[in-house]
Amino acid sequence: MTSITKTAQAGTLESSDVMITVAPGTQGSGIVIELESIVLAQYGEEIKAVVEKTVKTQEVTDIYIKAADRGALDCTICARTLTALSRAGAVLKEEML
Amino acid sequence: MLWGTIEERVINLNNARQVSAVREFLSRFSLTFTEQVDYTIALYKEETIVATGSFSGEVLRNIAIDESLQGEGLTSIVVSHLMQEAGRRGIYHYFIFTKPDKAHLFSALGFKEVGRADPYAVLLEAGMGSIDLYCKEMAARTAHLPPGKRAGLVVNCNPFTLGHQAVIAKAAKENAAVVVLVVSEEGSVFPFDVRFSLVKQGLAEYDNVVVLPGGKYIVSAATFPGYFTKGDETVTAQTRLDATIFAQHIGPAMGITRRYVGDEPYCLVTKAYNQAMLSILPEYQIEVLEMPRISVHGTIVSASRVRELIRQEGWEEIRNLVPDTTYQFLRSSKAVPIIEKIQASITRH
Repeated sequence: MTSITKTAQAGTLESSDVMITVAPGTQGSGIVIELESIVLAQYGEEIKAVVEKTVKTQEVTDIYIKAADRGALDCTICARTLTALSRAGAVLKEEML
Repeated sequence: MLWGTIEERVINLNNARQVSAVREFLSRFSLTFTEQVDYTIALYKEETIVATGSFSGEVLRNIAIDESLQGEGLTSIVVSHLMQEAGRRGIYHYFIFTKPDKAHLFSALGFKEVGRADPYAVLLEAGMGSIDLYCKEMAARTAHLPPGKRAGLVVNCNPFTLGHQAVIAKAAKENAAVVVLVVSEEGSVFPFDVRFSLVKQGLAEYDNVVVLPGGKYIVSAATFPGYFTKGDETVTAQTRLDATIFAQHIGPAMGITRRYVGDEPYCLVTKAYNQAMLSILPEYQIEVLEMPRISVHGTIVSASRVRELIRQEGWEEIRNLVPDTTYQFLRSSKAVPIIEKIQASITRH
């Protein structure tokens, strides 16, 4: 397990996108996700699950994540999360081609 | 389709022609463009501006969209662009100050309301950090204080005088504990760390007084930009907004049930601020006590008087108006750049 070293963000607030901001959390805090979404009631848990799964796959922990969602698809959420992680100093497991 | 015809352009703030185009566009929305922004973007359609936005530190401002193109998602393009650029500069917490009837446009983008002063203004925020987090932190930092009646003061102390000390000493005697919040925003001639440390030193003898940085939600560029810019017609909105945020969030978080303010004979902005507090805080069960200024040899003690004397090099008189800790600082080499700045300027703050 690794952690990130700085704050970073990826994505936009345009329709069908999501803006992910990640920041290092305190040691032992695990993965903390705060979500704002126009479809929070319908898909809130699912969106959080996608973010969490993406972060776990990269073996990153002790991280605070803020997601401002505007109805993004799962693949978009995953892509934006990976980009934010990489900008925050995480070395991604698989090279994205 | 709209997208192909819209072009994003970064406005060169040193280019008079570009700036005047933005200013002209904003004037249609009764918004004034101030040069004090860090960054401005405009969306163009066929060489005409159809949308714009700026930021200054953490505050996104001057956001406007052409009436005929509203509802097409241009707000989200402008706001996203501003947040991305601010992010590149290491800014991840954002504020928007807007009219109540426009607040929903930003709520839809994930912005959360911090406070509102109907019918004038609403303050929203997004990104890292929030008023709730701030309140939790402030509650933790005041948890050690003795229980009982607790008073709060918000002070700029530019610099700390015997007047400030007298009001706080009185509060310390009349209450179980006192929280002194020093305005964090830079914008006064004495930098924050100097103001803060002079307040702390000047109050060292009081066990039941804690001195804390005011942070982002008290008389800051977000809640009360007019305190620093002057001559703004939005003073009523800002003072009421700042007072409301204190009354709803900050005061209760720290258990403050009384707020002491110094009466203000000179500065109109501070006077308006006091009036806003007197009308709003009691609604939330926070008592407001306005303290008359103390005077020494017939002169009212105020920080602006001290700055005036610094300009005139009236050191003997300054000695009568400030605690020894402040005086020692003013005579030290660290104060030299500040003194030079005061002597070169003519503004009140």
